[in-house]
Amino acid sequence: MAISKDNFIVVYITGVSDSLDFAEYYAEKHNMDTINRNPSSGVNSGTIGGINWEVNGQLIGIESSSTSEILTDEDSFDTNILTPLKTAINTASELSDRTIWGVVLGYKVPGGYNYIDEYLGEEHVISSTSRISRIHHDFDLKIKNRLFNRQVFKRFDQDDADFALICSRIDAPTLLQAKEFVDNAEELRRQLFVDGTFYIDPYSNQIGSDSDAYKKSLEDFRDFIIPKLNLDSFSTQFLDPYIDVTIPFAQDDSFIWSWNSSRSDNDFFQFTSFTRAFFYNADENSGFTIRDEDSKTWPILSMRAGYPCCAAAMSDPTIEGFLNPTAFYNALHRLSTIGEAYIYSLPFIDWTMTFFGDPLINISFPKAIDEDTENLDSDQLWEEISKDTARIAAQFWQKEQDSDDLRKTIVDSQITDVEINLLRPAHTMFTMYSLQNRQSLMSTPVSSLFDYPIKENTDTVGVSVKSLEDYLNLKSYKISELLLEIKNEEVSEDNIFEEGWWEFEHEIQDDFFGFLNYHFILEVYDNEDMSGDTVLSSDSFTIGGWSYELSLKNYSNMPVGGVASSYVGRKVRYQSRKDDLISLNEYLTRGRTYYFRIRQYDAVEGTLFPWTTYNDIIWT
Amino acid sequence: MALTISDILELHLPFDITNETLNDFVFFYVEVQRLITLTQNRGTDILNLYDVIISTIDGSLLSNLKGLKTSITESYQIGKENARLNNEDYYLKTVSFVKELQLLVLVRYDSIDDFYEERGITVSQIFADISQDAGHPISSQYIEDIS
Repeated sequence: MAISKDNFIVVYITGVSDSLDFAEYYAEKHNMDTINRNPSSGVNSGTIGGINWEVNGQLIGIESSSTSEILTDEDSFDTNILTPLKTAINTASELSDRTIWGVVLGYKVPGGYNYIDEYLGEEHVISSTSRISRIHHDFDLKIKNRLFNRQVFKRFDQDDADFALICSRIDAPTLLQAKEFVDNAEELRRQLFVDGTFYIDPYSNQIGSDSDAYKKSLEDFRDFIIPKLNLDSFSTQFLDPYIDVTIPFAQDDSFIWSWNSSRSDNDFFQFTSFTRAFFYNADENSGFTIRDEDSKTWPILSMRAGYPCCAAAMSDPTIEGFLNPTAFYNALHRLSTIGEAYIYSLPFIDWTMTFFGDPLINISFPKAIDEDTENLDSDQLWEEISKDTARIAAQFWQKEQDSDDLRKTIVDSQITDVEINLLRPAHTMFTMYSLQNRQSLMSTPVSSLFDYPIKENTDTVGVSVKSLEDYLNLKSYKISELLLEIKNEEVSEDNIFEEGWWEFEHEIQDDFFGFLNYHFILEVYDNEDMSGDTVLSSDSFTIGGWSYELSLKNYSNMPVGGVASSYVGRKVRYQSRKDDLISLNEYLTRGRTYYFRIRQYDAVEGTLFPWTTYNDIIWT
Repeated sequence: MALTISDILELHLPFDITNETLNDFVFFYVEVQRLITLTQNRGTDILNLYDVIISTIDGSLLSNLKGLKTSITESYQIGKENARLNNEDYYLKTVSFVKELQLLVLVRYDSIDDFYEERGITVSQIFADISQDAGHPISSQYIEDIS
């Protein structure tokens, strides 16, 4: 079930008529329920901590004692907003059968609260959207977002909602302006696709490793992701590490992603003949207010210029807390709502970042997502099939060995009637898997496998693949000798797996149900019970032999710090090593089945997670 | 000089119960049971691997230009059918083998169950099924619980 308006509630302040007016306006635009379906039964209002709450359809009213944009402290926020809202969600009969995945904080709902980190002596403004996103959890300052930058895409679901809700805020200096933001969102929803210019500014005057990393992520986004959206783009140019180059103005823009200066002027946004969609400037505190009409901060300027959505920090989020553009636009491109895209691009929760605007917008780009990116291409497919075919060949090969063992067992028994009565039928069984018979059994698929890349590349301009050897050279692939036994082909030794070579792959699991870096412990046994000594044991902390799947079937060396949980669903891989110089030989016996078990552990705390077991035949 | 397999295959000795210790026979029997179970499992593994490959090709976005997708799928289906027929043939040969094996037990014991009981032997479900097809059913208490 994809997230929809039915999964959202809208929060307003009771006793503030404009706040209710706005909530009803938003609900009407989305055809949300504003009256209770069964008003005569159940409990749909109450009081907690002296604060009244009420539920009407998908609207939740809270009689907060303050409508200040920033409340004085956490206690005030909990008493006035969080606890009554949580109580309403958990106890109102109207909401009992509604799956709530998102919250819209409406006009005049406080946008955050002051928080002093007594341990570090730092002051922060915790945003309401961030805190209410984790309404079902205790406050955990700057907790890493488990949903951040997932490498295997999926739409928002209950599992995600159990960690964090999608939460946005629509507020403004006046009720009229708040409603305009909703109107702008409605206008955006009506567009077939959005195709104005994408303005990007990857450069700031900040220095240091975090700054360099964020600059790199913006440059990569500019170079690799924006082209996929098929939008015109404008990028600032790098001048000097100490100069903050800025976008001079925006014209015919639909998207802006910039960095540093938190304020600008009214004339930054010039005329656009395209619909404006999403604005983000990575800075320290431009989200401090959305209500101050005189402020020149980005959220106010951009939303006044027609942007229906933007994001900003209420106090310094730190550079590592800036939104990730690739995660954001990959999700939007896959037709996620903008609220989903935001939560996937947000590094920390219970923190300072706020999402302003309508979270229910979907945006279409001039170019649809290329679905092939998460499917094997024909070469990757060939490589995978060749390995599985080698596994079949290894099973047949081992059947011959097993049958030979049966014959030898009979002879070695030196029991006369056993030898006389059993050797002949055992020999018949053995001959069924002679090389000639194995060739007969497998020649059709193996021939087809070998011919496929030659036929596929026959008409490809500039590619000369006239033999299996050509193909293996072209792709840097290797093949099992057991397949070459079935169909003899001229293949150089460099393109044949060494006998006994093996690899092991494991899909990274979400063991922690939170964000962390994983390392891995692998053990290999020669018996199904996994008893006795291991044949091999390796910890990925040692790095050697280990890699992880950066993108589909594209592996990179294991980082010293482990693999981030955003790679859940991708794989880690261990490849056996052999080096005569240092007497290292991890190769195993051809045709023999081995039993593997792997467990993930927290790369920082060392917490161990459960074992997962596998078995595989050595097919090389 | 020890006889080779070829030498023994050429021999046509009369049936005879030798004086081997029963311990040797038990050791031999257990090992044979293990090997037979192993080879039968491999047959199943092979068919499963073919299914995985066919499913991988079928679910892929592989272009069927020049009929290549169809062609490679069909070749693996042929391979799977060959393997299936081979499994059936091998199974029948294994049944014949096990029939002879169990007869050797019955030369030494009144029943297969008696042999298992006295020697504390349990066998795999696969071996028990083969023995059943060979006309020598095995009581459930001597079959390993795979659950």
